Amino acid sequence: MSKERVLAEMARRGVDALLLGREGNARYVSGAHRLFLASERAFAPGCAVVAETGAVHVLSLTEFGMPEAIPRDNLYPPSWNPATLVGRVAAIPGVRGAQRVGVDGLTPLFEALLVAALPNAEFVDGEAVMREARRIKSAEEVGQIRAAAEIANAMLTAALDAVGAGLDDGAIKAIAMQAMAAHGVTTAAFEPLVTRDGERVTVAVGVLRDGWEADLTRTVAGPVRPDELLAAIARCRAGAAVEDLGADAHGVGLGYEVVSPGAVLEPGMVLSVGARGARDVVLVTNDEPEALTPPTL
Amino acid sequence: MAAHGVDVVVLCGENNVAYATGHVAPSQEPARAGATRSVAVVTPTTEHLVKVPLIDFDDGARELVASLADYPGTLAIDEYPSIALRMALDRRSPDDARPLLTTAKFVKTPAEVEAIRRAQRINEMAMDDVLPMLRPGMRDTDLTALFFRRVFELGATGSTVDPIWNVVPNSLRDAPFTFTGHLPFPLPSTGRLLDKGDVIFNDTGIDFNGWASDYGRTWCVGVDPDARQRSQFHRYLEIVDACCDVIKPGASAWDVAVAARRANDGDPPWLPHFYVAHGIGTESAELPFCGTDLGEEVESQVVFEEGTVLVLEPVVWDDGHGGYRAEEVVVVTADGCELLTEYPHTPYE
Repeated sequence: MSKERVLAEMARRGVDALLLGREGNARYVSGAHRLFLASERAFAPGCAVVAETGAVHVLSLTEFGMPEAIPRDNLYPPSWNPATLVGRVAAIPGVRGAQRVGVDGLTPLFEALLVAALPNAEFVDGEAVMREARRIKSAEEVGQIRAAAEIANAMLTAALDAVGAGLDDGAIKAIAMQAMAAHGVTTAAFEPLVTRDGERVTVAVGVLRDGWEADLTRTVAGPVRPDELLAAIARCRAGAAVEDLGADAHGVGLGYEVVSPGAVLEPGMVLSVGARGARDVVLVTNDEPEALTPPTL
Repeated sequence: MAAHGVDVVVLCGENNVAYATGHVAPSQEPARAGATRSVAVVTPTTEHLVKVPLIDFDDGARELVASLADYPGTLAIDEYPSIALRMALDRRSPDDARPLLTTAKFVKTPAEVEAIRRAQRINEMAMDDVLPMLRPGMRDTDLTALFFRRVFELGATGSTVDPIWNVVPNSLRDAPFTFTGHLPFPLPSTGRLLDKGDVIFNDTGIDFNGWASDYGRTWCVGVDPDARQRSQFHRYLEIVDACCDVIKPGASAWDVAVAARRANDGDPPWLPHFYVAHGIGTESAELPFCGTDLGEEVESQVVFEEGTVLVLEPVVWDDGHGGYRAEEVVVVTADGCELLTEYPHTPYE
């Protein structure tokens, strides 16, 4: 259960409360599905986790999209006035007494308001708490990423058919996005990317299915997985460092996950690994690495 | 910058970077956008971009701050993407860059107005092609598929919001709980099957080379609007006209809220958690806001200038009989305002 993992990590680091602005973090700990908006967002306290009560509180006008584990009493409504919003956060049981408050970002204004509202609190790195909690995927979470990979595969297959039909880049992107939504997924991890190098056409797609990400890249005409990628996937074993994979790698889960180059792989980590015009999502196991994305092509 | 006494501005927000430098990041989910961001360093005479992939970690944050040593004096920043950056910048005691950004963004140049008009046009043309396909038995996500197909064919560079096809009930009694007691709009699509007679408040937005569109209309599934629905629509038009009558240089955000309320027998014709109008630019909703919980004291200080762009989005709600909602983009001109688009309100007219 993801909330328990977050609470355990808070306890380990002595963090009394978390105020989260990053949507993936909020969704991870709460399970709340709020409206998806693309592009980077400045910090605002959209979710609060309190060690003392073990409760998760979510910024939401409505209970629509909220899981049963988040009762109505644990919602707080939005405001256009940042001071009002901070007042609502500070009123959450256990927040005002928190000594160490983890935040996953700040703005100058929210910093000033939070310092004024919680004068005894020390503000610490909440992203480090969440990064650690989210790092290892449960079997259920791997299942979610695998299901996202199926949608990415359908999207890429449609796009590659369009490449084969000689359509232009705009049409290829349009067909990929249509295929994704036709499968019931309406949120892309990124706008499909089409790049050309002579006769070779590379298409990259990424989806968020119920928030969970899978991305997938293939090149036509070219090998499904070039030797460099196969070698990098083969290196995705417990004990290897990310920087030694010989490929461009980042984490995936509820969206993109930043990994440090020195991070050491453990079973249950899921990485997006790309090399030479191809990319797959790979699960680190106790044994052979497993590509969660299908071969396509 | 000069007016705010700032020597160097550090911009981490994607939309602020796009505004200040013209560097447009690809449309991506928030975490990916954050992890792959470029940071803009702006002085009165120079600007450059810094690629800092690991700003979440102390090393990456310190690397960025070290590169700012060449820019002494007062530093202002729009946001801290990570606590690591906040800590690394502590000795520079940063100011808040938001006030100067807000001032700058408040007035769009003619070229910027044209960019918004272009984004809006693409969005409208795509919706124009989706509407005739609407019929009972479809899923809301099928509308998204049609919209994505068309909008990317037309050159959109991103979809800024999960497209909204919010079937609204006739009565708030049948709506999910909200803190305001009003409609929980906008709700995301769920794969819901559309029934004959459903009323949809739609809301879509695209990105076109860094500039946003905002499209909203009310659609009816498989039926024509009845007389009562048409009267709601006429009330909507009266409210839009009343707003447009007061929008001009020198008018305040609060004046728009007052005009809208007066045109609706004194009741605010907007969702209480939103506003009757908002700005648009590199973000689909940015300052100014008209009719928010910031209230008269704040909003009466926000005064329009020629080149301010607003999206009007009144909601006429007739509890028990549903309602009408749409959006109109207007730009403040020298002596009034001009609709940036004159898209029809099919099937209501």
